[in-house]
Amino acid sequence: MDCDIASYHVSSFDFLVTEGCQFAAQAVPAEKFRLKNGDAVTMKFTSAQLHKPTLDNGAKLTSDTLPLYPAECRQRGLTYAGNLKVGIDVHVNGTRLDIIETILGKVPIMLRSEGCNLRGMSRKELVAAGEEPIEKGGYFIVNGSEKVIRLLIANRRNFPIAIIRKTFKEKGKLFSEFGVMMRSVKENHTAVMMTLHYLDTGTMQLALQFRREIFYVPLMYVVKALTNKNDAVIMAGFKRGRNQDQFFSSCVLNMLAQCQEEGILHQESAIRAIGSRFRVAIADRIAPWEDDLEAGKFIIRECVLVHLDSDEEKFYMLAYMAQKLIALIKGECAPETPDNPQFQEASVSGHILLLILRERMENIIGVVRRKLEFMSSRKDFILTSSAILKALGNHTGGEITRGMAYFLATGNLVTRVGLALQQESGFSVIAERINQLRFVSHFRAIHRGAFFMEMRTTDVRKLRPEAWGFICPVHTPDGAPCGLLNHVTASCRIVTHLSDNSSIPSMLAELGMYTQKTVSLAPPGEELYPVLMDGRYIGYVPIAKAASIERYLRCAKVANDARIPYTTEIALVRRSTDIKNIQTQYPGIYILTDPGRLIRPVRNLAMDSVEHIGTFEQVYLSVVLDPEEAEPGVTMHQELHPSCLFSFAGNLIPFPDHNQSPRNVYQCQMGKQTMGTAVHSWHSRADNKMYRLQFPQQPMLKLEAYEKYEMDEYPLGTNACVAVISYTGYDMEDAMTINKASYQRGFAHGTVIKVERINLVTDRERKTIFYKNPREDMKTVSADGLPIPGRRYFLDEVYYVTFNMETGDFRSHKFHYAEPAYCGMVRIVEQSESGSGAQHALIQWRIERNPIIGDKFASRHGQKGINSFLWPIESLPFSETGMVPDIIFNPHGFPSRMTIGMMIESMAGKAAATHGENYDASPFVFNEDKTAINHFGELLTKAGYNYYGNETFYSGVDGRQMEMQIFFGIVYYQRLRHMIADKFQVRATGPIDPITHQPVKGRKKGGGIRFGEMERDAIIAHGTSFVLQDRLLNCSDRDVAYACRRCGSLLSVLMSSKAGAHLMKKKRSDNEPLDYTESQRCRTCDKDDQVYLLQVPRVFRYLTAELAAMNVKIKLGIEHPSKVTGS
Amino acid sequence: MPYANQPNIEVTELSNDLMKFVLWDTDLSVANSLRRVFMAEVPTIAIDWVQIETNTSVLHDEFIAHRMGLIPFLSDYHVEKMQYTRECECAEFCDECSIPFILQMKCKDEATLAVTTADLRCMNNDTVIVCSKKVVTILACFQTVRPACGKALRERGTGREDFHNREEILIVKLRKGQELNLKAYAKKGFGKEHAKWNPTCGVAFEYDPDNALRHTIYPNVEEWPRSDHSALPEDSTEKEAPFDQDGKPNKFFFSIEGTGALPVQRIVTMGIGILKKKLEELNMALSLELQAHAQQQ
Repeated sequence: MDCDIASYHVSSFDFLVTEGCQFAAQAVPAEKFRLKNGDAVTMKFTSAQLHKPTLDNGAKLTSDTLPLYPAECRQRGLTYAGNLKVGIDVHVNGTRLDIIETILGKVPIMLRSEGCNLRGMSRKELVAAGEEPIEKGGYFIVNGSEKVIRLLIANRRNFPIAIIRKTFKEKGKLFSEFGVMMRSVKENHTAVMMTLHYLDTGTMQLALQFRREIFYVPLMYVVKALTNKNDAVIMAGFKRGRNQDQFFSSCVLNMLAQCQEEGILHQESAIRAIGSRFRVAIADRIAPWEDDLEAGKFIIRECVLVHLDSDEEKFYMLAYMAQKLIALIKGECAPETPDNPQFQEASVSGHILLLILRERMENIIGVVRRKLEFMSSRKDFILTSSAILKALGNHTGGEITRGMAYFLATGNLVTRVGLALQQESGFSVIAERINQLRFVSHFRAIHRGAFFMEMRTTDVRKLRPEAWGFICPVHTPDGAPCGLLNHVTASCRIVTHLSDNSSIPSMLAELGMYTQKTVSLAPPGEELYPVLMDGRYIGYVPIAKAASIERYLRCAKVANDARIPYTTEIALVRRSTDIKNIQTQYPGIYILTDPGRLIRPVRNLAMDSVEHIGTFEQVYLSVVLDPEEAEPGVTMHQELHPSCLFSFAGNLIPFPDHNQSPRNVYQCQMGKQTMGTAVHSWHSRADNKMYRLQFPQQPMLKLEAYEKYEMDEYPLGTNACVAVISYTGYDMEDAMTINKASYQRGFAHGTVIKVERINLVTDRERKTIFYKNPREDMKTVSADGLPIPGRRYFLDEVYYVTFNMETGDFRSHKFHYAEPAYCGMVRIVEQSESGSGAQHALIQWRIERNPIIGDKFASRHGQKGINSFLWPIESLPFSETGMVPDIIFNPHGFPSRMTIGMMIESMAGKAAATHGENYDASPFVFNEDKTAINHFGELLTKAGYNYYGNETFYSGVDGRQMEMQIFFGIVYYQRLRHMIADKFQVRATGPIDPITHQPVKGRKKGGGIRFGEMERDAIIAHGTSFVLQDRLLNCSDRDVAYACRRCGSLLSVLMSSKAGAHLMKKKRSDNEPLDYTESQRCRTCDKDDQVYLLQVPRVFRYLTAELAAMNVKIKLGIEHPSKVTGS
Repeated sequence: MPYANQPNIEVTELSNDLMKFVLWDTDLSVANSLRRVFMAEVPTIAIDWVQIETNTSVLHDEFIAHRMGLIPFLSDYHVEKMQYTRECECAEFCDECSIPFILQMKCKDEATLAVTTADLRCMNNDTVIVCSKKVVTILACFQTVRPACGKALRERGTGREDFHNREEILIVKLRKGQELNLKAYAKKGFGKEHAKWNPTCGVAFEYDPDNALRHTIYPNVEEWPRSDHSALPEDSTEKEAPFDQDGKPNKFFFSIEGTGALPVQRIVTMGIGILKKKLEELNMALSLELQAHAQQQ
C-alpha cells in the first residue's frame, strides 16, 4: 500500500514500447496480391519501434532534434507523441525486393513510460521540467489536454466459462441454454470469442467469430480438421477423464456418426468443408491462387482457440470444453457468470492501444496494396522500393497520427474488425486535476463497459464476495453508473507483461503430472484431475496427489523459483464431496499466468513472505485478517493490512468502520469535488479551470494511508472547531453557519484559476497579432496588446487588442466574465503552423471565491452542508475558556445518518489539538473491547475536558448558560467546488424569445427559471388565481390582439383605412371625399363593427398563425365583457 | 436590589496578554455587553489598504494583501489619537487617519528569504524631519505603531518567552530573483468591521461554577471536570452545589486574552469607556429629542 497510482498503466505502456509494437508488427498478416503485370507480391511488417517525442515535424531523426516535454504540449496544445518507425519486408515472386524502413506516424506517448522523456527523472528534474514533483504519469496529452484510458473489464482470457443463458436458445433451432464460452487472446492481445453450444439433439455446435460475424460449425468438423486421428482415437481423447459417463459417450458417438454421414471422413475433407463455408467471408485474406484448403487452415488458425499454436493442443482443449459443457448440462458443475470478478480481467491502456495500433498498421498495408494495384495498371510500372514509399507517403499523417490522437481525444474507437472490445466509445476520459483525489481516481477507475449501462438487470452492478480486496466496496458513484464504475483497491495491481511459463509443464511432469502423451500409461481406474495452464490442457494429475502438487507449486512461486512467475495464479478446484447436491466449479488444477489479471499482495503464512494472489485463486484460498482466526491445515494466507479492501479514496475516510456504509460512499464522491491544492506547477499549466484553497491544512486525524499517498503534498481541507448545536435557526436542513471572524481571518478562502487560451491563428486568418494601437490611450491593456498582469478586470473592460497586419485594423476585445478577475499571468506560446509574432496567448485569471452564503462544505463523512450565514463572533456561543466555534453543525444531522465516525473525529481532533499530536484514524483499530470513544474520551479527560467532549456553552447574545452541554471538537472540513457564484440564477426582466415572447431559459443567457406544471398546480390548489395570471401571463408573454367577434378570427383583423376600400370600388364618383381614417377591420367579414381588443398570450397568436399555415382555423367565441361579468 | 448600582471588581491575574478578573453584584446583561464590547468595539490599528507594485512571489496579490491585514499592530499609544477614516476630513489618506508602510524585499541569494514583519517600514519615518509640532507627534507614532510581535512585543513586556525563534510574523518566502514591493496604509477600526481589528483572541466569562442555579444540566455529574472557580471544598464528594431556587447570576469570572495589539488592561478600560460613551451619546440624543418635543408643544 504505497503511493502507487498508475503503475499498471505505465507498465502496460512500457510493454507496448518494448515488446508490444514489435509483436503487433509481426502479427499483421502478410498482404499477398498479384499486380496487373502478373507479379505476385507479398508485403509484411518485420519490425516496429516507438521513439521518444521530439520537437520535429516527424520527418527526420537526427542527433540534434530537441526532446519534447509534456509541459510544452500542455501549454501549446500539442499532442505528446513519438514517431513509429517500421520495417516492411517486400517479396516479389518469392524473392526479397527490399526491407523498407520508414516512419508510419506519431503515436501518443504515456507520461513517465519507457517512451517518455520524463522517464527516470528525479523530483528536482521533474520540477525543472514544469511537472509535479511526484508526477506518476499514466496518462497522455492530446491537443493539450490530459487523457486517461480507464481500465475496462473483460472476460477472463483463455478460460472456458460454463454459462446458462436463456438467450442461447434464440441462436438457432434446437439450441439449448447451455454453453461454454471462451475468449482466446494471443500474446499481442488480439482476442477472438468462441462459444461451444449444446443442441437438444445431443450434439454440439461451435460458434466462431470472424470480424464481428458469428458462424456456427458442428464441433466434430473442427475436431476432425484439427487432427488426422481415426474416430476411435478421437473418441478416446474426448472421453478421457469421463470414462463412466454413458451419456457423453453417446453424444460423441452421435456427433462422429453425423460427420461420417456428411462425408467428412478425414482431416483434409474437414478443412475443405470449413474453408468452402468461410471462403466468402475471408476473401480479402486469402490470395486468389490459394484454395479451400488454405482458407480452412486460415479459419482454424485465426478463429479457433487462437491462443494455442498447435492443432493438437487445440484438439485437447476442445475436448475439455466439451466435457465441461456436459458436466454443466448434467448439473455436476456450477454455472458461472462473466459478472463475477473471478472470471474477469482488466484491459489496460497499453493493451488497448496496442490493439488499435495493430489494426492501423494492418489498414496501412492494405491501402498500400490497393494503391500499388492501381499504380500497376500503368504500362511502364515496375515495382520498386520508391514506388512503395510513394504509396506509403501520404499516410505519415493520417491513419496512425490522426487515428491514435482521435481515439484518445474522443474515446471513440473506429474499427473494422471490432478488436473484441465490447464497446466503441467512452474509452478515454479527461484526467481532471480538481484535486489529488480526483486525479488519482481516474487511474484507479475500472469500468464494466458501456453496454451494461443500459441493462435493466442489476446483476452486473452487484458487489460480489469475489471482489474482496480487488474492487473497493465503497468507492463507486451513486446513480446511473453505480456498481459499473468501480475503483480498484489501493493494493491491487494488474499484470501487464507476458510472463515466462514455459517451464511449468516440465516442472509439473516432475511432480507427477501425466502429460497428454503419457496419460495412457496411468494405472487404469486412477482418478484424475485435468491440469489447465492459460487455456492449455497440459495434462492430468492423480486426485490423491493434487493437493501436494498445488502446495509445492505455491511454495515455488513464493520462493521466487525462476520456473514459476510470481504473478502466477494456482488454484485447485476440488471435486464435489456430494456430486448430487453440491455443485462446484469444474474440478481441476488451473494455472494462470496471463497478463490483464488483477492481483494483490497478501502474506503467505507458511513461507512468511508476500505472495500475490489473483481473483480466481482467491476463491480457493483461506485468507485471514487475524492470525488467531487461522484454521490449521487450511489457512495459508493473511491480509497485509486490515484496510486492504479499500481504494485510494476509501482509505482516506477517518474511522470508516464507525460510519453507516452509504456515508462512506458519499464521502468517496465528495472527496473528489473538494477544493484543495490542484497542482504546484501553476506556471506551466493551461487547465481551463482549477480550484485552489488558500490556507489548506493537514488533518489532525490522519490515516496510515494518508502518509503513504503523500497527501500532505496536496492537502484539501481545514481543521475547524465544530459545535454541534441548534443555535441560530440558520442551520436547519444541513445548513451550517460559519463564524464571520474565522471567515475574515481566512477560513476556507479559495480562488478559481482559469486559463484562457486565445489563438489568433485560424484556418482563414493568419495575419493577426496581439498589438495595441500606440496612438490610442488605453489603460486596461499593456503595450503588447495583452492584459496587464496583476490588474483586476471587470465586465466589458477591454482586455486585449489585436492588429491585422494585412488590413491594418485594430480590434479590441472585451472581458466577458460577469465576475471580476485578476490577471495572473500572460504567456505567449509558439504557434507552429504560422510564421512569427505573438499570435497564441494563455491568460491566467484568478477569481476570488471566499466563502459566501450558499457555498458548499463537507466533513470527511459524507456530511455536506451549505453555508447559510456568516455569524458575528460576538453573537456566537462561547465556552468557559473563550473558545468560539468556526462552524455550527445542526445535531439533526446525526441520528438518521449515523456517522459516528464524525463524532469520534470531533472528539479525537480535540484531543489531538490539546495534546499537540496527530492521531491515527485508520479503520479496524478499535473494536468492542477497546472502543474508540473510550480511548479518546480518556485523552480528553487527561487534557481537562469532559470525557465525551462536551462543554458548557454560553449564549453569545445574552450570556446565559445553555441548558444542555454542547458537543464541541475539531473536524477536518473540506470546501467543495460547488459554489453559489457559479450557480445563482435570478432575473426581473431580461431577454425573451423572439417568437413566443416568453422569457428564455438558461443561466448563461440571463434567462428565468421555469414555472412549470407542478408549480402551476400548486398555485391552482391555493386558489390564488391572480398570482397565476401574474406568473403565467403578465410576467411572461402577455400580448394584445384584435379579434373579430363575427368570424371569431385573430388573423383576419388588419389595420386599414376606409380610403383603401373606396379605391377598390370600381364605380366611384369623383367628388366623393376620400376617408383616410384608419380602423381595425376584419378582412373576411369586411366589417369593423365587432372588432375587439383582446388580451392573449403571445404564444397563442403564434399557434394560430402556425395552424393557419396547415389550414386549421382557430375560431374564438367572444362575448362582450358586459355579458361576461353579469353572469 | 440594593447592589444594582454598585458592581464590584477584583483583578485576579494581570499581564499584557492575559487578564482575569471577577465581577460581582451586577447583572448578566452587563457582563455580556462588556464581553461583546471587548471583542467587537474596542478599536485597534491594522493595515486596511495595500498597493502592490511588484509581486513575483509564489503567493498572489490578494493573498498577500489579506495576510498583511491580519498582522496585529501595537495600537495602545496611538489608536485613541487617531481618527476613523470615514470620520476624517481628508479626501483619501492623511496623517490623522492613516499610517503608511512600505515593504521592499528582493531575494538575491540562493537560500530562500523569509519576508517578515521586521521588513515592514514606516514610510516617512526618515524623510519627514520638519520642525513643526504636528510632525513631531507623527514621528512618535511611527515609532510606536509597529507590528505587535517579536521585539516590539518584548519591549512592552509579554508573559510568554517561548517563541523567540519565529518571533517576527512571516509574510511570504522568496526564492532567488523574486521580489515583493508594496505600500500599505494602516487604519483605525474595530472588530465589528473586520476581525483583524479585534484586539482579543479569547474572551470568556463563567458564572455559577458549581451549577447551583441549574441553568445547565449535567447528564452525569461525576464525569464533569471541576471548574477553577469552584467554591466547593477540594475534597468534597459533591460535584454540584445544592440547587438555589431563587438565585440569579451574580458573580462573573472573566478571562480576557489579547492579540498583542493592546495590553489587556487597555482593552478593558477602553471597552468600558466605549460602553459609557455609547450611553452618553444615547443620553445626548434623548435630551435633544426631548427638547424638540418640548418646543413642539
